[in-house]
Amino acid sequence: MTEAAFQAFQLSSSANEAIQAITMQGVKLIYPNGKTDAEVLGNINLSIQEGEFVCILGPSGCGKTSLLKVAAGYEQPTSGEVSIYERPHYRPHHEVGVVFQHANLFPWLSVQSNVEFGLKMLSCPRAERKEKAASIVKQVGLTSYSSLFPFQLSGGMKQRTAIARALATDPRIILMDEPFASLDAITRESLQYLIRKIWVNSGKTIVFITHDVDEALLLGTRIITMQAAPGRIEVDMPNPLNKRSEPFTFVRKHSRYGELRDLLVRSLRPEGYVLQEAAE
Amino acid sequence: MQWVNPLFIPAPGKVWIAFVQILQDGYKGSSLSHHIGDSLFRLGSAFALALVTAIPLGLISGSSLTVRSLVDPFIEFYRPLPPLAYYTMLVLWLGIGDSSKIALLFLAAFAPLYIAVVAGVRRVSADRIHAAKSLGASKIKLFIYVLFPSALPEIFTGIRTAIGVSYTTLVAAEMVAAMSGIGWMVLDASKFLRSDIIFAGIIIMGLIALLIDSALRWLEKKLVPWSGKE
Repeated sequence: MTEAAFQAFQLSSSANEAIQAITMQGVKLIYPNGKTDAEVLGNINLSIQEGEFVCILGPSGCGKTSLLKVAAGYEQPTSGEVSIYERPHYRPHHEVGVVFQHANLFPWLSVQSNVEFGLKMLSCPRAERKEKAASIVKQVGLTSYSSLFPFQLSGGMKQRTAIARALATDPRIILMDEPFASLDAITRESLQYLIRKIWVNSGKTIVFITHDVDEALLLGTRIITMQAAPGRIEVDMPNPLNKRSEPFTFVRKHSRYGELRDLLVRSLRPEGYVLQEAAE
Repeated sequence: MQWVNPLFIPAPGKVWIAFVQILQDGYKGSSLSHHIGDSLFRLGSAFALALVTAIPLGLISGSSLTVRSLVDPFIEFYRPLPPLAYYTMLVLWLGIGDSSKIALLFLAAFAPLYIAVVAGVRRVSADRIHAAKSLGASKIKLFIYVLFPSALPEIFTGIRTAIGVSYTTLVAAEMVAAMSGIGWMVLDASKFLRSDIIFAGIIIMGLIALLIDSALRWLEKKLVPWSGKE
């Protein structure tokens, strides 16, 4: 029944012509855990096209962070294949930038130096490095704070720095693991706006993990929901409300917003819960 | 007025006179600054040696279980040994000159420093290493630009502990076949029951230790202002 409801939202997509940014085929992730192995991810098949903004929604413990770790190359799948731009991908790579839930900055480096870090790792000459980093620091609105250290920054500024640091090496894909989860509502909104702007202007592929349905609807052009034990994809649909050409604030005013939100919330509930409701 | 035998605790005035005397005439043929200089040279070279060996080895050990299981048993074995127990062997191997003294002080400084670096590296979160790798860090760059600065607060704690340990070993190092050094001066004076010189020497040693430690603390504040504020 839900399946059919989601079908109604399907749009004709031009997926076939698009460039495959991330593909996962039969990805399983099993943690050996005594006699009973914990199956964290069970058979994930996923292909993400270049330029998509994919939001992965799921209750905690559903394996969404594990999925991101596999995509980042931090975890090797127990079986299955992961490719980035059709090359096998099992190791962290500077083409795949990562923004963590906690900003995870280098505490001994200033904002500017944190942003320069990736360029330094790639042996970019000093002058060029400084210039590039300064322009990205400006892009995230931290120019007047560029000499401060992470411990002197607010949560929102830390996350801005983390975004700038990930952008500096110009990755084609950015993976974000609940980056705004621990921020207050106002700060979160300004950062959502920032990431949207970056995505619109750069055309980068973004995979964004969240447990917030509204955030997923606001930012994602495609929404994937996951269920736990084993972690698997439940729903995978384009977001009909979100268009690159329109200001994203339109999403919330859309007449179908409530309906779609309801559907997503329902799909996130544990299976037993859904059945019970269906019986009513 | 005599409350205690001046042999046990000399009067402050006598200690001061002894201090002025060794400051002016030196002790047994060498000036006070020469004694202090010799001791600090031994301490300094041993320490420099410990820094350039214990830090890289600690960084590698901290991130590799294989290396750690190879190195740790040796360090765990020799660390609790009293330095005097193996000092004779060092003298036999390296002679009675400065090199055996430096080796003894080096061994004393190495263990606490190494242990601190290993602990510092092991405390680095997996996410920090992941972040660096995603930004393109190679293995060597990861050591230089991430693991080393991450461990810096622990390294400083290790340096301060190591200075303390090697400082206490200093007197032992200067016991055998030495003719100079502040530790030797105190030991030599004790042979003649010159408690005034012993006290003066101990106070000088204490003050030098305080000076070194406050210099280190100043350096720590300068270099790791973020320590404890992550």
